[in-house]
Amino acid sequence: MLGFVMKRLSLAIPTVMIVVVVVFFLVRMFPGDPAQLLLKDQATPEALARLRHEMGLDQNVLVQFLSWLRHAASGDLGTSIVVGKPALPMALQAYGISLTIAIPSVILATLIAVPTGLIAAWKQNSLTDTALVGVATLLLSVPTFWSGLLILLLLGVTLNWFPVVGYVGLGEDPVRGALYLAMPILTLSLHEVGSLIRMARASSLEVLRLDYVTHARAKGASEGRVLAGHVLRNAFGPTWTLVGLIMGNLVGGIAIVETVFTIPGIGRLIVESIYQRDYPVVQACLLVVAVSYVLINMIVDLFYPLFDPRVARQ
Amino acid sequence: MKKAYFAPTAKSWCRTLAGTGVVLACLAAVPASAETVLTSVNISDIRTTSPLEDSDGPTFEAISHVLEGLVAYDDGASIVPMLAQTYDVSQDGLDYTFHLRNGVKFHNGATLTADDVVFAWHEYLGDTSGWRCKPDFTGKGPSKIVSIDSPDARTVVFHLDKPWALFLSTMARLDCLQSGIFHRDSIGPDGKWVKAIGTGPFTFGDWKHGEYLDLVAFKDYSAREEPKTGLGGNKTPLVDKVRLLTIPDTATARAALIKGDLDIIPTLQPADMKELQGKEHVTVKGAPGYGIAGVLFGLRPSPFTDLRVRQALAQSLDYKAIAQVAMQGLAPANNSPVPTTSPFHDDVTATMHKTDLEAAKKLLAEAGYKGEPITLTTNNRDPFALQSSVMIQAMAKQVGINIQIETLEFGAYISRYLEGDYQIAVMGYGARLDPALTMDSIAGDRTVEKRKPWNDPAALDLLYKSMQVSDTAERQKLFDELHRMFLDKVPMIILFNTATAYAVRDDVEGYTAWAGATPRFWGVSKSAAK
Repeated sequence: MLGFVMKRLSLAIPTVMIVVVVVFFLVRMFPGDPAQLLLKDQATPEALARLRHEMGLDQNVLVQFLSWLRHAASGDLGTSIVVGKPALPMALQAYGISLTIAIPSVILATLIAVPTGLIAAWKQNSLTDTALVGVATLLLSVPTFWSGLLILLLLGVTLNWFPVVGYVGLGEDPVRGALYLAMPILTLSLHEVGSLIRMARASSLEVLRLDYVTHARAKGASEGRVLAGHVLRNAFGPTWTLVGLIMGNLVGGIAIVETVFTIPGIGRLIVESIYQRDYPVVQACLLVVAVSYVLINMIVDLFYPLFDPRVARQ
Repeated sequence: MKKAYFAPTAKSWCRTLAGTGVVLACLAAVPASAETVLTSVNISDIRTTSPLEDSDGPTFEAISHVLEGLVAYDDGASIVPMLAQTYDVSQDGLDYTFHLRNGVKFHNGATLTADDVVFAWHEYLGDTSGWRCKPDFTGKGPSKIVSIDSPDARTVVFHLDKPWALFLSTMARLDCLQSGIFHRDSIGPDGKWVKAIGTGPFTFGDWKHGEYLDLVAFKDYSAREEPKTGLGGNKTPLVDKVRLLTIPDTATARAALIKGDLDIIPTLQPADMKELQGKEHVTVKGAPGYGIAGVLFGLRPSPFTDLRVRQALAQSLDYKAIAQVAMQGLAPANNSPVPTTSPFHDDVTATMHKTDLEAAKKLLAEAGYKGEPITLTTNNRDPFALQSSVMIQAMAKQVGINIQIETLEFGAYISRYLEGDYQIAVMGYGARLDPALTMDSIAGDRTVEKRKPWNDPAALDLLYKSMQVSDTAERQKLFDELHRMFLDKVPMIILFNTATAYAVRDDVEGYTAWAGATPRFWGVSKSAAK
């Protein structure tokens, strides 16, 4: 186990390094810089030069990179050009907030999608199957900015169940915090349910055709026992892989949902930092996301033997 | 086939959802706080609480509630005393003497003295200062401050090297943070900014990055007796706290206002007004402001280097229609750099380009333009810029001008604008409350400042004079002449003045917009019943 973890981590290091280098130079290739964005229509040449000097943008890019790398080695990923705070704590704090949305969303989506996909496969080509696949396709097709706004209008404005704007941390006030998180979690869950149902259905169909399922039925096992005891466990492996990928995508890619529901998560921080050309924060955020992506997928792999004993034997 | 024993039924789903809703609705009923909190919105976070760092709109607006300057703009864009009781200008225009109000308190309880004013100004003009307006007072502008004296505890004298009509206007500028006076304890012994200790109606409270900023009412605020006007007059806070929520998505802000989670949206895009009009408990209002929007001619090769082609474009546009669509009727069409709301907007500056399609076609034929494609650069952040661009494209097509629209992300757009790297572009400029300042944002030596399209030495001479002359009648003549030159040479086509629209809940009283287009939360109350 330890060897597997070490091997995966050592393989991740070059990936993360490539991300670091690409991100550093890529964000600086965007047209516009923080000084221009700050001054806008009041940007005199003198003011621009002064501000660029204050922000350290007047140095050669390679010099900036080497300086950043030197500090990064000691855990200092720089200071936000916009708000003057250390970039890494900003990114980690926002990442933690995103996790409080992403984890429940994935759990909720999985709990809904796996049994639903199994039922769809069990009832293949029936009206139930068509209806469930149709709903899954619909949920998958609706963009989250739209479904998010609809949920906000329905549950927040019309029914008045949840607060529409603002954010309270779960550590600060768990009850109010949960209320603020409910709508973004529901929005993300609904979106991810679509892809998970389709995956669960496809893998269940494959398993349902296997000999041991026929054998179990021939032995007189009930349909419930066949599905829950024999099909579900074996069909869950591919879905579990998808859960890992979705989890990795969610923690770095829920900017739209975070924007609609005013959640100060890492997705929104990345987007705002890109708009403001806040290079250190963009770099810190993407580094955190890249590392977490690697870790999440490694954790997913570690859990894989629970669903497929063949992996453990290998 | 048997029914699966774990399959949920539609009825059970409904029951579960309804039950969850009831529980959550009960949980949402958080007990009301005794303090009066007004909630408003910022589209982005503030950058700093320090006036000594360069900053942006949301930061200026927040600091304007905490710090006050010696003078301020009023509703009519005139200068009125603020921390000064009165001020005098010497005959030669070189000395400005400010007599401070008596008994004005800082947030830390200290009484304002002339030494405090001198201290704050020395910090603004000091070597380590990143104050945006420092160059204006240290020689970049038509004049500079030579020295600042405090002959007694309530008198401050600024000595200039040359007369400068815009000295007070620049001092009161919004982006100069009104040159707000802060107490010396705002800066720590190490020379670093600690916190803003001013004399304004609010102090900075909690600030959670990306979430909200609180402005807490200053109970010992020393108010002026004159009524609230612009950023001057009586600025007494009537609520305990103002919470500025950071909401980047405008649709979310509108939903929150309808629900009552927000009390005010201080800057509403005119295009978004319709959605809120007629909603229960919501009032939407707007007023023309001092900002301008127009078509700029860039440095990329284009047929617009020929005056006749520029004139043809100017004559092809229906300005009233563009202003109506882009500003929803809140601001009139205007071709002048003198805003329609300015006291200097007279019959001369009210003259506009004449829309004449036949004349435009004739000019294009004379110039030899044969429908070569021209790229109009615009951005996706300002709805009015995109709407105006589409209308310009359609109107220009009627006379044979072939415009293709290029829409850029705002950061990329600003970069191109500053470099003059476009053929034509649609650009919006923030409010400047003196016509000379508006003209200064578009006129200059383009070899040095590529963003400025009006590169005419004769016009620059007149503009420079308008900044030195104090006499109103003389300034009016100069602005009239500049306006004539602007229409004749068409260095840029101004389309309209931008408007400020806002929306408030019915339980909010006293909130109004003003020419400076910044929110003002003093003098605003909120009734207990919603």
